[in-house]
Amino acid sequence: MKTARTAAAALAATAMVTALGACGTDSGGGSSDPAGGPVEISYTGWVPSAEEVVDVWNEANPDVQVRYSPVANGQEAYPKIRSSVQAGDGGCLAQLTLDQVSSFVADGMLLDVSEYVGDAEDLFLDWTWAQVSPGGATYAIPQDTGPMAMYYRADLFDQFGIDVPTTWDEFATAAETVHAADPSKTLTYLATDDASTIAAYAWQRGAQWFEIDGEAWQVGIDDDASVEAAEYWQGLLDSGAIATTKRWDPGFYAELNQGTYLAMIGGAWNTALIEENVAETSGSWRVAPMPTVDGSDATANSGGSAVAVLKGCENPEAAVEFATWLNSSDESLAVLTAPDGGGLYPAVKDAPEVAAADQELEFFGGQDIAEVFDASAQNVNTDWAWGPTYSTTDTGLTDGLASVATGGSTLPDMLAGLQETTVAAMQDRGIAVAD
Amino acid sequence: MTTTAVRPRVAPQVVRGATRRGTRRVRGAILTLIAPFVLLFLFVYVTPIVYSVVQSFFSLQTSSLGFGEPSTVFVGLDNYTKAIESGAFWSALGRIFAFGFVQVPVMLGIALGLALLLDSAAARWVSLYRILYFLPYAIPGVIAAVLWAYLYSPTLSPFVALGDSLGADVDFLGPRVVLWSMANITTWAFTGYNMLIMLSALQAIPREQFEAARIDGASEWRIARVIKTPQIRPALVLTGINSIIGTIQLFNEPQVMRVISDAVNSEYVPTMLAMGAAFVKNDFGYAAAVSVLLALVAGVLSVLYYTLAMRRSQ
Amino acid sequence: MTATTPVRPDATRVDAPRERRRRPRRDGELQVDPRTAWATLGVLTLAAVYFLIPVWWLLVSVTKSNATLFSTNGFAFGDIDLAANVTDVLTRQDGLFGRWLLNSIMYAGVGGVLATLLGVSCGYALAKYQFRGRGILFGGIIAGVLIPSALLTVPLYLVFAKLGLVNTVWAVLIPAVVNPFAVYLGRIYAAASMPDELMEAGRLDGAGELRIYWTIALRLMSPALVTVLLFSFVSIWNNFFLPLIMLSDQDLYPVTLGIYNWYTQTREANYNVVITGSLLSVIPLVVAFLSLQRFWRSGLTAGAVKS
Repeated sequence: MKTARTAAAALAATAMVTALGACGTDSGGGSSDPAGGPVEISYTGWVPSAEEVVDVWNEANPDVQVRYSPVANGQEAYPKIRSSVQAGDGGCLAQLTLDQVSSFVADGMLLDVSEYVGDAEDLFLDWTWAQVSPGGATYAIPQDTGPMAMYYRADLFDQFGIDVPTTWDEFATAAETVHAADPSKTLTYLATDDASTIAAYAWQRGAQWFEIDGEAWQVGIDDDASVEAAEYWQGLLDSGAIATTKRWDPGFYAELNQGTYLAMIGGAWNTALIEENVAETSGSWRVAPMPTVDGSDATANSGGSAVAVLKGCENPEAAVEFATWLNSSDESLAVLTAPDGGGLYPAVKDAPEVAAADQELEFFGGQDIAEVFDASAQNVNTDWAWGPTYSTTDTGLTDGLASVATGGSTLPDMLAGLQETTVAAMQDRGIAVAD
Repeated sequence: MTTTAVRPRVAPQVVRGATRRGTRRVRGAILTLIAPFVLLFLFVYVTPIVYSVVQSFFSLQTSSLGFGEPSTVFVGLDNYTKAIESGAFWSALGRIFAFGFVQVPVMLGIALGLALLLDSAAARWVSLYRILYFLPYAIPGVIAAVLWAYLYSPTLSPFVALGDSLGADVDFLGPRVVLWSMANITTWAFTGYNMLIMLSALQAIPREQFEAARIDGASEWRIARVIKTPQIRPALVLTGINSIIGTIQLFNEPQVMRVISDAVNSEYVPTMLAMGAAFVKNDFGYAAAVSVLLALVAGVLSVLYYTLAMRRSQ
Repeated sequence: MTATTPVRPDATRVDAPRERRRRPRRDGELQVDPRTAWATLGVLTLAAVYFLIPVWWLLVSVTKSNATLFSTNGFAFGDIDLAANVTDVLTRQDGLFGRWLLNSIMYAGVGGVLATLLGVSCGYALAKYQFRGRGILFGGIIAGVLIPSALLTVPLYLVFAKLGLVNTVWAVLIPAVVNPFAVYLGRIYAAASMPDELMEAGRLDGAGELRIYWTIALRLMSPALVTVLLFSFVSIWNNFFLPLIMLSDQDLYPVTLGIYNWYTQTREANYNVVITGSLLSVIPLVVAFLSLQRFWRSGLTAGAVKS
C-alpha cells in the first residue's frame, strides 16, 4: 500500500518529465504520411468561399488533400504564420498580401519553388509574377489584384447634388460641397488601419517606393509623387472635408449603412465586403472609375494577394500544383471571383474574361461593374515593387496614419519619417541602400 | 539541459526528527516532493531568461538586396543600444509609468476605502457587497477589455449616446484620454480583488483594539486611519507589488483598444513592442533585449517598492 | 440570467457563522449614527453600481441582434434575440466555440490540478524539512512570483520553437503547471496546518515521509488545496498572452483567445457573436467564484497576512 502510493507519486513525476522530453524530440506538425497515403497540404487564408473551392479540389484529387483553415485577416495572421514557420511547423501554403511577399522572403520564411512552377508564369499578369519573385526566384503563386475604383451611393450623390468626380480636383470640390451641406457626413474617409490605400494614392501618381538600382535598393517613400498625394489628402483632412476612420473596425459598416460616407475608394475585393455588410442599402450603390490626376489615366492597385509556399513545406510540388489550380483554373475562379463568393479580381492575364462573368448586380442597380475594374486594371503602373523590410514599413505606416488621425503628425511628415525608418531598418539588416 | 545541475544542490540535510538510518529515505522524499516543480521551474523560468540574454546579443543579417538566406551574427550590445536610443521604447515605458503612478494608487485607494467601509461598524449586507465588488475578477482580462471597448466605441457606446443626447462630445479613445480609459478597465477588473485581500487582513485584526480605542473616544475614521490601516501593511505591500507587476505586463487593454482607437499604436506598451519586434519585424534579438531590459526594470521596481514600504513600517 | 444571480444563499451561509464568531454583532455593541450608516450605504451602493454597469450592459446586449444593438439604448432591452445569438455562437465555424470552451476547461483543469500538486508538494517540503539549498530555492520561487510572466513569454516561445513545442497543447500546459504562487501558498498552509508532532507520530508508526505527506498532510491541507487549485485554475483560464503567442491552430485555442479572434475578425459586423460568446464563456467561472467564495477568501487572507 505504502510503496504503491510512493511509487505512484514518483511515477507521476517522472511521467511528467518524460512526457516533456518526448515532446521535445517530436518535431510537431509533420504533414505527409510516409506510408504512401494521400499527401496532406495545409492552407491558410481569408478569402471568402475558399473552403468551397478546396472541397472541389479534394473531391477531384484524392492523392493531394488540402486542409484549409480560415484566418481573420492579414494583420492577425502574419505573426501567427511567422511564429509557426519559425517553429518549423508552418504548414505549406498561406495567403499573403502582395506587399508582404518580399519581407517574408527576406526573413527566410518562404520556399523557393522556381523548379516546380513550370510555365505557370505565362498564366499570370507579369507584374504580379514579378512581385512573387523578388530577387528572381519564385516563392508564391499570385491570386488576385486590387484594381481600384470608386464605390459610391448614387442616391446620396443626387441628394447633395454632386456629379461623379473624375479628377482629384473635382473630387476635392465635391468633398467641400458635401461637408458644407452636412458636417456630419463626408464624401469619403481616410482609413487609418489600411496602409495599402495611402500607398496606392502615391502609386497612382507615379511614386516608386522601392526600386532596384543595380545591387542596391532605391527607397522613395517621400518622393515627389508620394508627397503630392500626401499633401492632397492632408489638405482634405485639414479642411474637415473628409474624416479618418478605422476601416477594419466592424463599426465601419454601421457608418456606411447610415450614409456617413458617400463614397469609398478601394480595390475590387471590396465588392463582396460591402454587399455582405451593408445589404440594407442595396440598389443605391454604383461604381465609377477612381478619380485621376488631371491629364493622366493612371489608376492604382490596393491590396491583392498571393498564395505563398512556406519554408518547411514537405510537398512543395503538390502545393504549387494546388495553388496554381486555385488561382487560375476556371472552376476555381468561377467561385473565387463571384461577387457572392470570393469577390476577387483574379491575377490571371485573361482576368477581364473571367471577372466579367455574370456581374450585373442588383446591389449596384444592375450596373456591369466589372467593366470599371477591367479598365482600372489596364491602367495600373506595373513597375511598382515592395521592399524586403516592407512588413516593418507597413506597421510604421499604419501607426503613422493613426498618429495623423489624432493630430500628432501630418501625412507628408509621416512619409518623411517612414523613409528614414525604412532605410534604417534595411541598413540594420545589412541590405544595400543607394543614396 | 541545465536542469540536472540542480540535483547536488538539493542534497538534503535533515534536521528534524529523523534518525541517521532514515536520512537517505528522507532525502529521497524531499527530492520527490520538490524535483518535479523545480525542474519545470528551471525549464519555464530560467531557460528562457538565459536564452533571451544570449539571443539579445545576436541579430539577423542578410546582404545585397536582402533576398539571400539570412544568417544570425553576433552584434554585441547593439540591440540594447537600439532599444535605449529608440523613441518607441521610451514612449512605451513612459506610458506604463504614467499608468502605474496614477492607476495603481487610485485603485488601491478605492480598494482600501471600500475595505475599511465594509469593515466599519456602519456597514450592512457586507457579504453581498463583497461579492458584487469581486465579480469583475471572474471575467478574464481580455474579455473585460473587449466589453469595455464596446462601451467606449463611438458607434456602440451607450455613454457616447448619452453624451450626444445631452449635447456633450464624449470621446474615450482620444490620444489624451485612451490611457485612462484603459486604466478604468484595469481598475474595474481588479479593485474588488484587492479590496478582498485588504478586507481579509482587516478582519484578522483582533477586535479588542478597536474597543479600547472607542472607549478612549477615538472616532471610527481615526480608528481606520491610525489602528487599522497600519496593521494591514503586508496586504498593502502585496497588492501594491501585484499591481506593479500587472502594470509592467499591461497588454490586454491596449491590444484590444488598438482595433478601435487611433491613439493606440503597435508599440504602445513594452509587451506589444516586444511582440511586434519578434513577429512582425522578425527581429528576435531586439525582442529579447527589450524583454531583458523590462525584466530588469521590473526587478528594480519591485525591490524598491518593497524596501520603501517595509522601511516605513519600522 | 439565473447563472449570474449574485448571491447564492448557501454560499454565503457557509462563512456566516465564522464571521459572527470572529466579530461581535454590531447592533448590540455599538450605536452607529444613522447618518453615518446611510452615507456608508450610499458609497457602497455607488461603488456596486460602477462594478455592475458593464455586467448589466452585457446581460442586456446578449439579447440583441446587431441591428438592435445600434438602434436601441444600451442599457434597456429591445427585441429579444437571445436564442438566435446563442445558436449563432454555438454553430459558427462548425461549432468551434464548444471546442474552445473544452480546451479552456482542459488547460485550466489539468494545468490547475498539476500546478496545485507540484506547487503544494514543493511548498510542503520547504515548510517541513531543512535541507541545503532551501533558502536559494525559496528565493528563486519568490523571484518567480515577482517576475512579470508576460516578459518571459516571447523568450519562452523561442525556446519552445527550438523544441518543436510551439502550437501544441504543451506550449500552454507546461508554463501553466509552473505556478510559484502555488508553492508560496502551499508553504504557508503546510506550516499552518501540519503539526510537527503529527509527523513524528507518523514516523514512530513506521510510515515513510511520502506516506505521511500523502495520507496525513494532504488530507489536513485539503481546504488549502481547493484554494490553490482555484487560484491556479483561474489564472490559467484568464491567461491570454501566452496562448496568443504560442498557438496558431484555432482548434487549440482557449476560449479567451477564440473570442479575441472573433473580436478582431473584420469581414462582417459580428458584435452579437462576440458579446454572447463572452457571456457564455464567463458563466462557468462566475458560478465557480460564487460557490467557492470561502476558499477564495482563505487564500487571499493567507497571502495578505503572512507576506
